[in-house]
Amino acid sequence: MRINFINFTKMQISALSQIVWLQLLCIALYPMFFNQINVNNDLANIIIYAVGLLMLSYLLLRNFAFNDAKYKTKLLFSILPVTSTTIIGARGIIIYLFCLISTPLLILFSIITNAIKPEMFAVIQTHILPYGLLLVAVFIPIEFLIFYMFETQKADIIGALVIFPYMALMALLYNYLMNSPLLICVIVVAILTNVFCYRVCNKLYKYKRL
Amino acid sequence: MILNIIIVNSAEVPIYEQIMNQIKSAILSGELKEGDVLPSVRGLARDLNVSVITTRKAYEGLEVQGFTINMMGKGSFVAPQDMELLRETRLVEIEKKLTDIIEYAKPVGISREDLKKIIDELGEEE
Amino acid sequence: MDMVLEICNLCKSYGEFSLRDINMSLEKGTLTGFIGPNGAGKTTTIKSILNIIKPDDGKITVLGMDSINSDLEIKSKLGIVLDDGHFYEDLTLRKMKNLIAPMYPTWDDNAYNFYIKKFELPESKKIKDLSRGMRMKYALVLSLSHGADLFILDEPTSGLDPLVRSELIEILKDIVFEGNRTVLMSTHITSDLDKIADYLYFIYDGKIILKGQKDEIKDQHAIVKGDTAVLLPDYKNYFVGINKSSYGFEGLTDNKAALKNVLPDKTVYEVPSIEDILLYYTRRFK
Repeated sequence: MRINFINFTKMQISALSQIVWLQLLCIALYPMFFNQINVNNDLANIIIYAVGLLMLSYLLLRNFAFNDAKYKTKLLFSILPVTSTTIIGARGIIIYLFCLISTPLLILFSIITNAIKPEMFAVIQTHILPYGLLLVAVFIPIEFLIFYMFETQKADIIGALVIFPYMALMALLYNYLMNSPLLICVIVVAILTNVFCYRVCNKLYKYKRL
Repeated sequence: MILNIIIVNSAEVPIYEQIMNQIKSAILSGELKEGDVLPSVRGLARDLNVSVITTRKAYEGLEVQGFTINMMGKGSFVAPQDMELLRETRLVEIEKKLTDIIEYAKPVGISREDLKKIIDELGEEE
Repeated sequence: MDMVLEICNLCKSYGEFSLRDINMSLEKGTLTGFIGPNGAGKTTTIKSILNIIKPDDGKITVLGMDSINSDLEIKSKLGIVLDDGHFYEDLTLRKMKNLIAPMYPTWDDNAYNFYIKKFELPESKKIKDLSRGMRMKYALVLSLSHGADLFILDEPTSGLDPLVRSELIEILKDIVFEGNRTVLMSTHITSDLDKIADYLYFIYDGKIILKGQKDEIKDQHAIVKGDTAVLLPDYKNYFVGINKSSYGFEGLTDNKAALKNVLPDKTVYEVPSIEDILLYYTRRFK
């Protein structure tokens, strides 16, 4: 069972299609949002960082759905010895891995943009990253939930629309983040959304198997 | 060991009976001798393109009638035959068949004498 | 007797269509044909066995395990060949195998290499470049390599040319030959089953309308042809279906033995093909 979890994750990664290359391009371009105007505005930078990752990981989710449709992989998964827990779990892991891997890339690209035009672009300030990742951890599961709750097309629209309330919520949570005793609350919120959304997505996937 | 089995698909006789009859006649004619091993149920089914269940049924029938002995895990063997008894049963069968032939011949006016002649002629040919 | 698959009172309805009280049991080492016209419920039944769709009612036991509670254990012992392609088409056979193989604890790479050679599959070709027959063979190779005990095939022969079909049939014969592996095969091309099936299940409009051992079914039934004048008033009791014309009648009986007692000798009896039986029965239930 545990072995299959790793194997399945490998299988999902190796089957990711060309869209991934497009995403790398996005990662290369999106440090441009970190500029000299708001270089010291941590709130703005954290939100830019977190929202950017959310959008990129949504693209990754779309890639899974794209494969499900193109190759009928839902059918394949239903005959392999894997459960929906494995499938949803592996996809979650891949998305978190993606966020972790893309972060150093983002910094690298921001160094490059900064080197090209230092008066415009700023290097990403590393002290914001942990806070940004924590916010990502709060919102990615909700994104997952939206994705598995609606048809892909609808989920795209809803996903795009909820980005704005997300940003407002992030601004709100940011105040707690800065207030270290309440940081623990945000961590608890992140864990809760993860567990809750994971379970619901699991049920949804099983229910909508084919 | 020579064993020819030909399955006729459009026949009146069920397939398992066809298999039984042909193995029986092979035993009676001496082509299969006491102690000879019959092909496996599955092997025969595959080679004849018939169901395993059908060949199994045929083998069970042969065993019940005393033509073969089934040894678990070793397959079916040709059983020692009581030739006298076999002759008896054959005779009964032949009588039945001849009665059918006589009935068949009657409506078109072929007499018993004619039939006897046919038998004699067939015998000469052999 | 060893039962590899047991379905008890399976029911499932979707809108207009419903599957009613499906019962089925497969004996180890046999090949069962699951036949019926398109849309009769074959695929729905198979998907229920595979736990892809959730039945409304009934219980399914696969290899002695409950189909819902032991999903994982069952899947690792099943060989499944479905009608639609369900592989990553852009991968080569070898790459796809490398992804799938580690998921099965009982994967046997020697068996894989053996069957790939035996079936003459081009390992370095992409799956999308394979013909339909080759895809079916590839799916079978994968199932054989992980040591499946029960093979479930949904319409494996549809859309194949006769030569490839007979090749596939030979492979299936070999699969059941040793007696440890069991095959359930749904199809609407019944001539394949005439050769290899041990048991038959006829499904029509969501119900099993006839089941049993193939040769027994063929023995009980007969295509009867003769002079219309000899038919007794109660003839309908003996026939599944009958066509009368000015030249005589032709019908299918499900009780050849009884009919022989009431009809004169001149009547002709033929062994029906599975297709004949299927056609007469579906016409009756229409």
